[in-house]
Amino acid sequence: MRVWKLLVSAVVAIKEEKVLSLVRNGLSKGMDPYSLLEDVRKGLDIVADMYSKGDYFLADLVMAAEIYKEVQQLILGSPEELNADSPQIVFGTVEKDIHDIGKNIAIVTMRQYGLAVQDLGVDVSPDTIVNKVQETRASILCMSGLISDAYDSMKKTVNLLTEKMDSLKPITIIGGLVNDAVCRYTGVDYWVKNCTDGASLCLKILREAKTIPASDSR
Amino acid sequence: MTAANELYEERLKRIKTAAALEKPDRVPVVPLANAFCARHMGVKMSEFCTNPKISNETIIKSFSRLGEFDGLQSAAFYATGLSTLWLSKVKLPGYDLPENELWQVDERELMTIEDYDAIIDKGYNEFLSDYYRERLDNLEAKLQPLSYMPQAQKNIEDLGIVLFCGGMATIPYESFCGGRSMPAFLKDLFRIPDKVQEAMDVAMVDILENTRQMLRAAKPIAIWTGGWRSASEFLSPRLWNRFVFPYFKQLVQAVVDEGVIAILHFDSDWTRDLEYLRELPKGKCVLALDGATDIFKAKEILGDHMCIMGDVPSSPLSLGTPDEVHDYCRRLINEIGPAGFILSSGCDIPPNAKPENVKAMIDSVK
Repeated sequence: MRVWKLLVSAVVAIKEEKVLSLVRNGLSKGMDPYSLLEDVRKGLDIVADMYSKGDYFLADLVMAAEIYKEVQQLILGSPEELNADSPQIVFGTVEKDIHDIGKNIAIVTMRQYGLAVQDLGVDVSPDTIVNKVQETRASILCMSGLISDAYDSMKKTVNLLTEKMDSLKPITIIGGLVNDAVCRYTGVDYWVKNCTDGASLCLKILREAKTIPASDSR
Repeated sequence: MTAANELYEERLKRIKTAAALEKPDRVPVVPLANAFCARHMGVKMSEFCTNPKISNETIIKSFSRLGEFDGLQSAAFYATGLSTLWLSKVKLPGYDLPENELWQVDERELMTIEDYDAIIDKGYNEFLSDYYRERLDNLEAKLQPLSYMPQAQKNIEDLGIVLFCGGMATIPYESFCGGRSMPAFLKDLFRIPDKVQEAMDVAMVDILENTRQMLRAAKPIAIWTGGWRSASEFLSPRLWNRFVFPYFKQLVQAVVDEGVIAILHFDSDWTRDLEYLRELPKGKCVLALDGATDIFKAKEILGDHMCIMGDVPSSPLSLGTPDEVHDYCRRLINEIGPAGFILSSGCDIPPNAKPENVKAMIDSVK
């Protein structure tokens, strides 16, 4: 109980060295590695929640996610490719746009929420996106864009998805420099303002599709 | 005095009156547009963004079709120049991208964690000289086309148009964050805060001196002193108050001391910290917003302290109708103006803006 409290509060206070030393200490005393990882995730959940409420900021979220990643690596090895072959979500910055900060942070947040995400990178053509969605059968496609030329790329991608997959196409979500008007213009299903909104929306969609059991506490 | 001269003086007076928080004969309109002009005139993006003479001609031609405005925030454009602000390479159309695509800052971790020590040991100017040569592919030599800028300025002024932004300077946070890449830099702020601050303090000495020299040589009316990476929305107040605002305060003071208006070109959301901007010299700065900061809140907090400029966002300019743009502009004119307000686009007019929407923005001040 004491270690739990210390570990969770060290993550919430974004004390990297303290978290790592608590985890190493716990492991050396034979504590269950998965419980330690779960405690770090709980701390990160609190940070993400505080970020959504405006009490924490992007820098805090990035650092807390980094701490989680380090602990995950200590316990599980490289986390990046977990479930890479059967992702629930395919995510890319659309054609003509090379901005990747927002996408990367959103992916880190989603993975922290336990979601399996395949990162397609930046400047990804509609063809590549559609092929990847068909190949992986992902339930959700997330597209990011920070320049206004991205709107047309998003629209082209949605049109191609409809043409190739019709009713089997995934739920589409956009983020970046977008709003309600861009959502309508591109024909996507949802738009989100920040990465925690995006991660929460994906969880909700997957739960409703029964890919994730409703009993999951997040 | 020629007609163009008279027009120039009339427009300059209008802009300066607004900047000094007074009420001009009408709200001035001073757009910022680069890529939009290339698309509007059918000029290849690859030529526009690599040749200041072509961009100058294109900007003039484009705006000559869009109604009567008071000034521009850019007389010419040279994309590679962005590397000096964010210490990153810029992907150029025609070279790294298809010829009609938009140039984009290619953020990578070019600046290493050891570079903070190099800055502290060598000073910022010497560090930059090495960095430009070794990591930005001999940037210094690539900046030669910028020597056309004084002529570009003269070309628009000869037409009676005021160049309202005659240079650029920013704080170490923006440059370090670009060079390190945002995720790595944010982690530096947690892991080695004292080292980052020491490097910023050392860099600031040269940044201030370089800015003073630039202002004395070019004698602009105003310069861009802005950023987006250091916006309040990304940082806790603790980090913002340590790594961002003290440096903006020094930079703005240095600009104002030279008799030049500081354009706080603040992209992203700065709403939380607007109150701090009251510590900057009154009536000497222009807060230029891009639609992310609440401009109405800015008016409430800063309306009696600094002129506000903006903030017609990209989305209505590219996806909206002229009526929608007109209505938003009139709201700005009535609620943020008529005193201490300059109408403009939120940051750059996007490349796919509809010309009729840009015209609606310009015409709305009449």
